[in-house]
Amino acid sequence: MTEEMMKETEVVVLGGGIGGVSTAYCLAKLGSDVTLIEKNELVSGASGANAAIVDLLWRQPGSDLKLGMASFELYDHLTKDLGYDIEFDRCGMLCPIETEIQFEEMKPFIEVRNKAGLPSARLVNRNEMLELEPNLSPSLLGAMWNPIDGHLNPMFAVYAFAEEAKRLGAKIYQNTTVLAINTERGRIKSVVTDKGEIGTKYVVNACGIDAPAIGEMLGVKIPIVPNREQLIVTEEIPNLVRRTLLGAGYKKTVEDGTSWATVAFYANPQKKGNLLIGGVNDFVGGDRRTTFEALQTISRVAIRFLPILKAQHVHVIRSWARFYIHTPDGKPILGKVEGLDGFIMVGGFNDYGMGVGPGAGKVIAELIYYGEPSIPISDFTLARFN
Amino acid sequence: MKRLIICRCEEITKEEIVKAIREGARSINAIKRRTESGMGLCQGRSCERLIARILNEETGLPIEKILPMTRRPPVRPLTLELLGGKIE
Amino acid sequence: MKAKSKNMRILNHPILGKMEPKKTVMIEVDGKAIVAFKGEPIAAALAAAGIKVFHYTRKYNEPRGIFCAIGQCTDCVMVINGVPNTRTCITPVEEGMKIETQYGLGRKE
Repeated sequence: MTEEMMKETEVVVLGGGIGGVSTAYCLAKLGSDVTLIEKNELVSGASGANAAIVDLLWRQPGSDLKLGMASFELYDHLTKDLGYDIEFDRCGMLCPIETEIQFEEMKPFIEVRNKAGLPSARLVNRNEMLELEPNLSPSLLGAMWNPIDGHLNPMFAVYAFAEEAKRLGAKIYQNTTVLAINTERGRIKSVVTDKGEIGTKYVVNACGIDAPAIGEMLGVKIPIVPNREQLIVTEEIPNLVRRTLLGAGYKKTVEDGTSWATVAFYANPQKKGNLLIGGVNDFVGGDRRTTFEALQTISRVAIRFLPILKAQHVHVIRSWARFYIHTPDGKPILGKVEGLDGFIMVGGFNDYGMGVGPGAGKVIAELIYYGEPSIPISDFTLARFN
Repeated sequence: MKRLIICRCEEITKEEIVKAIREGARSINAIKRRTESGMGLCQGRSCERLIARILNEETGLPIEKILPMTRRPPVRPLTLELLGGKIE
Repeated sequence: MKAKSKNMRILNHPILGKMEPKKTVMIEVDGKAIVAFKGEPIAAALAAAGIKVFHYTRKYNEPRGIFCAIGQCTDCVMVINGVPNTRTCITPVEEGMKIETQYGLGRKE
């Protein structure tokens, strides 16, 4: 990796997470001259600390779902066409249902998705649920099931996009801080870093949780706030969970007497054999510490859905906290920023960045290169917050 | 010489660690993400210092800048049932 | 075929002196009955019985035994009463404990 900054490039992508590297890859593939700048090292933000779930089931019909599908295509492309092992396993997603009310709520949820281009999604009763996932608690009523969803290794995926981007001519600078962004007559002119200044036409802000800080450099307000999520990982334990599990109540789940946070349930197996289990969610500014109460709550809830965790004395080997990239309406922030030519947003992915990041990268690359994205992203502009 | 195991839990060799560094990793966390070393049962306790030394040898980064690795609870493996408390 | 394992206990220590008589418990190691001292770490009982290999690694199938002996490294893990990944150097023996050499993750893969 070159240490001195290049003098000139066509597009500067800021941020080495899933949004940044897939944008850089797609631009490089189109033939654009791309330079990616990362403050720390690749995948050191949300992309490197999540539960590794990738699903289409929970996407909103319309552009959200289309971005998800484009992302899955890109993951397939990395794996099948380019030969990268990103542990992309479409084992299926099961969303266990605890109450009759949830069951009723899930019927229209599934119907809407079937109509919107996701015919594989359906409701299953308890017996079928247990056939798909024998270790779920028999006290559950059934589940939503989408056989084409699953999990991957998010870090390997980011590294794969970065490798391909470099192979296609992109330059990647790690441990490089952006100090300022210069504009001229309402147009991006250059980016000043601690390794030098680089002239550019475009700046793609894919900085995840730090996107607002970049916006501030240009007097642009970006309403992203950190939303802390705590989760745990178990020892490697084979054959415990076959599918990606995510409680059907999702965010407004599991009332558990925990008033200080939102409690959800998910359990995602990894190729190595560990189970990623979560999660407890709250807003504490930039505090990335874990709390003991969260550890307890996650464990308690997990045993409720998967009693085998208790029966087999499964151990927790690590817990951590990461930030969801929270936006006021839960939708991503994509596309051109009004009033500043060349400043483009890729982010605000809330809690599903791995599921739509690559798709977003693709359409933003198209927006820059062709002037038009292949999937409409007008719902996701930054301007909607004004 | 046959493989030199650095991360004992995940059986990651020195060769793999050096490869990660040559691919751009400049911190233990980055090496961990690329190789899965430090992700095993002992959570880096055995390999942390060795990895730091290899990183220092390969790049000249001072050890003080490299260590310590991010530490997270629990301090040693605990069962979910113990953490979860009494189940109704 | 292993020769009959000799007792590896230090009966007369240069500093700690003569070993005092201790209560014993019976534990089972891979089906074989072993005498252990009440309350001592499983690893100590196994070392005393001359057992060196506690588990075989998952990837390269290499033998592992006592390494750090302070509960940090996880080389000494075995399947104890059906629970894999148990650190024998910090887990005390109990009467009738069932101890098995762990292969890989200790569970069917």
